[in-house]
Amino acid sequence: MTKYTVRHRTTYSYESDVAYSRLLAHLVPRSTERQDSLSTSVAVAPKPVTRFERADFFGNTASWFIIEEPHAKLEITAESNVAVTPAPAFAPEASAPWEAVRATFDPPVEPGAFDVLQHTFDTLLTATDPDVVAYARSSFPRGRPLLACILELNSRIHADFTYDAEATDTHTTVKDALELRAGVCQDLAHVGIACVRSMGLAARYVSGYLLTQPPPGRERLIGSDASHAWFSVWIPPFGWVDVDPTNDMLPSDQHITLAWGRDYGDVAPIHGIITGGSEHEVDVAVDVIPS
Amino acid sequence: MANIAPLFGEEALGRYDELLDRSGAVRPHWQRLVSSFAAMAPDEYRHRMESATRMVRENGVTYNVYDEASGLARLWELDIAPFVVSASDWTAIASAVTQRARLANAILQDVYGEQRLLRDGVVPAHLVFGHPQYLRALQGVRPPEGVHIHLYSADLARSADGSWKVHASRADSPTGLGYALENRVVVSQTFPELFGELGVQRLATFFRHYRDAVAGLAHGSGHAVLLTPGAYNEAYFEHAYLSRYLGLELVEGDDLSVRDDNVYLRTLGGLERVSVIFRRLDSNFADPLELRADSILGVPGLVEAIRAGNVVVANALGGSVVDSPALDAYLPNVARALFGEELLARDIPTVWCGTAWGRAESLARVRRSMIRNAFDASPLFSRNSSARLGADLSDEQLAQFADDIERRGATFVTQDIVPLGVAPMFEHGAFSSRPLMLRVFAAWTPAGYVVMPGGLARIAADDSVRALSMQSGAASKDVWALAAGPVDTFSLLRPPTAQIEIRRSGNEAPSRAMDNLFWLARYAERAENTVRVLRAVVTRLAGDTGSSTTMTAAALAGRFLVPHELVTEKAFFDALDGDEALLRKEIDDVIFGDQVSGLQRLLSRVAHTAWAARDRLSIDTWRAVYALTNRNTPDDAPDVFEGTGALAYLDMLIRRSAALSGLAAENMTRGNNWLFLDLGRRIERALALCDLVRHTLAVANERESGAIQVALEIADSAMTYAYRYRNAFQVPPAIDLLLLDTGNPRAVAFQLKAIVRDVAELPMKTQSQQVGHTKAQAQGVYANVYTADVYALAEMNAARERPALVALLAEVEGGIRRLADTIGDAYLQHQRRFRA
Repeated sequence: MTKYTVRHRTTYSYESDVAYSRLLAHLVPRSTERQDSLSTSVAVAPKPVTRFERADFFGNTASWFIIEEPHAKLEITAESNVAVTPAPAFAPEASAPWEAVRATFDPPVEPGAFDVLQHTFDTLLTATDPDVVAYARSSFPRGRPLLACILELNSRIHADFTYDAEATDTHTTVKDALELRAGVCQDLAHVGIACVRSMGLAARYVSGYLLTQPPPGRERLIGSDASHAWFSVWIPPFGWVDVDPTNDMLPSDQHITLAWGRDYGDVAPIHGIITGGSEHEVDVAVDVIPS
Repeated sequence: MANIAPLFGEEALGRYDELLDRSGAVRPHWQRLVSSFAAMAPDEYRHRMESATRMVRENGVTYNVYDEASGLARLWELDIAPFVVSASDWTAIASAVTQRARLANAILQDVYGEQRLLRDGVVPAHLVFGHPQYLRALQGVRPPEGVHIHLYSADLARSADGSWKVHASRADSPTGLGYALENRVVVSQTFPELFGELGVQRLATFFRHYRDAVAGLAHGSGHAVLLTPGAYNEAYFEHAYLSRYLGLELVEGDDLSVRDDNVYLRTLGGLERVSVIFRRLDSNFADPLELRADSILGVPGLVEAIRAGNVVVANALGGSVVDSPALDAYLPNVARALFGEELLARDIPTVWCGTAWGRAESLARVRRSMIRNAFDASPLFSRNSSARLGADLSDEQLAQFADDIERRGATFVTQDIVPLGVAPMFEHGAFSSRPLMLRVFAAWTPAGYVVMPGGLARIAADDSVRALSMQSGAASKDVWALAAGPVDTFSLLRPPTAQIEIRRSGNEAPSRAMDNLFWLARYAERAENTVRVLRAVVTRLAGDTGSSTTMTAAALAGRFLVPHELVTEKAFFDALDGDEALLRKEIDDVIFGDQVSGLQRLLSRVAHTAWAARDRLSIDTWRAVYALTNRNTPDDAPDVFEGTGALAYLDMLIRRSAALSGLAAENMTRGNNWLFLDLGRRIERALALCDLVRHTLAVANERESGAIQVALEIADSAMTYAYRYRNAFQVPPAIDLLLLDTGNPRAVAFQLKAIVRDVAELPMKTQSQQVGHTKAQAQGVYANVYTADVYALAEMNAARERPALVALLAEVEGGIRRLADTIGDAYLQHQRRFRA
């Protein structure tokens, strides 16, 4: 088990005063089978008149902040302590053939599986089209164990896409990213999700962090200076298996999970609507320190 | 009945004929209408159709089609022959639709509550969790009294056996109610005798039930508003119309703000609480923070206010889930499970491809079915529709479909193509028959759902399956549901006998609405001033005045048009040299062309601001705007218009502009609406007059009397001047009349006095209103003029300029512009929202 302290600071600078801000944040790491979320404190300046937390539909902790005093700068700093256990080694051949997994989504579906079922459908940011199907299909030959399909898909995305922070933004759709063959971790995760769902299978979006300073002798991972994203696929008998196309790997104890949902829109670290203020700049700094 | 075309073939084709029975006889409930139409003189029907069409046009009844480049608004198409429904048919329709509304509401209670239907497998969970409009943020949130659907609509068509089938339903934000009402207003006026004789059920009681039932759910006092996506929405006419009819404030998302989990309306006097929102904005756009993240429409925090139970949103968010075609396949089971009832009206046969059986069945029948996205409830074959005809598919496309449903069957349905029953249209003196779809509305009341006894019928432009979406040119009809007993003649327009509290003003004045009225007045006045200047120039170009005594067209153009870049310097110099050809051409372009600074663009700005303020303008005012801004409207004085020359056109605009301002002056009560219209008009006119005086009187020229006469002519003050001073044209009296005279409606001082009076009426509640010192500002500008000495102003320096006059004009202009800014900041600003 590895313990981490994560410091995630987001700074908005506005050209003119913002009269009023309403923020919805996903900054509190959730506890999972492999992760204990030990503590989190979120500091917001200027001080919100109202703040509260509530579990969202997916079981993530969502935080609301309402700021009513005029401000030209807004700073949100989340500091969390988490403990992560390494992922077990999954044997691809031990997973079920992908068609058999898909067949489990035909009715009747047990109430306990509704949560998985909902991740088989398109969303705005992960809408599929014939191009997505065409891209995905070669990883899903008849009878191949699902995890083997996913590992190959993950490697293909990693190889085919250029990591380019300038190419896309938070509203980029899978269709756009697929055309560009470029994007950031969020886009690559969306592409992976769309491919999996286009075959009738379940995938979800995971928002989180990466260890910023690699252990001695190991390479620094891409995306480690900001928040990170990857995806997770429902693979019986293992359950949800995380997949990181940006780094062509299966996340283990260097990945810290914040929240999951159907796509980025469900779990963006910070959604905000401001009144007034016009143009703004955002600066995000993330430090992940083993403790 | 010689003019009834035989239609006996229709039922053989599997269609129900509304007009004729199997033997070819006119059905009893149509007989009166048929004989009445047959008795009309040949041109009579055409005349009535034309007059109805004129009414629709002048009332501004439009249906916007977003992606039509040709302009915002397309005229609503109305076929004046009503669709008559017998009392017994209506009873059956009403029970069927009531049952559907009740069922849809019960399903939503379950979906957003316990989800027993899903857990018991009555409805596959896919239909909820896969639905793009299933709003997870609302899971577990029970709306007041458990009412999700306050207004429901169902689209029905008659099957060959005479039963009505449900082709679509709307549980999120049904449209068409306002159009149905407007159709009724027009058609009942088109056939008043027939309407009276037939015993047609009235609509007003339904609207009262709807409004009162929703308002009755509110906790605490507050405004009731109608939330529209805005003036660009395709059904904006309906939103403006309904808000007026139901007595609601028409608002857009950024007129509303959530504080402390309550919704507030931004008004002139600050924030005021809102307790009821009649929602015409799609659910997923209602809160940009918690729902669709790619939009900033809607109200951030609305979901939180709903969770807190502090606002009634009608309909509640997330209702589209029950509209999906896929659910149609399961409704009979749901009705049995929830109510132990059989459906009174069935849906069109639907197969969901989420099961192995469904996929096989769909493939077997695909050639005679249509394919749709399982969750796509948009009107068939409309712009966003996913519907495709199986018969149209190539072998390759068919193989593609087989692959699609193999991979993602849960997202597809196939539905039977059901021939629609046909109803009569009356054209060229004869009846013909066309497929017809009937939209029926139901409203929630504490005693259960009630159905509007009428509706919106749409009749196809042709006989194809694609013909019935409003987007593709179908016409609408008024629906006359005949009463079994006496007719309830209650009208919302004539309040019942219950005493209502006397009020002298409405305090509801949303800032945005005031902003629209302010700019409507400014643009209208600016257009009139431009027309007046242009008319002076065109008159001289036409050479029909004693132009030798005043200024030439060239001189006028040089002073008024060149500085505003309306005509080029070259045209001006050519004209000075006696060649007016270029000037004529450019003036023509300014009047009729499409250039940015031209008259037509200015008029279209008048039309757009008026459209945005539609809910605050009376029908007559709206018609005056329409007449002013539409070039092809026949004039009250057609003989003048026949020349169609520029001069006749400009004269007509002056008359129509006067009609518009006259309506405002005489017909509007002196509330906030009038205040901002008047402020806009006064501010704009004062600026135009300053400009006029500067260009005519501030710099002396050789023919000063000519310049004075031009100024008087443009400012419509020549008569007054002649009455006071005969033909002695001197500068001091002209300055007095156009600048200082508080009694001349076309003097600067008159405008300023009015502005001072108007500003004194403005509320002084918020901080920015108090620190703006609008009153002091207005009085300061007025004092400049009020204390000026006319002879000092007329004094000339060595350069033959009038420095005191120039300085005063600059001060007044500057003062007015600053005042306009202050008013804008303190009263009219609706702050824009951004995504952080």
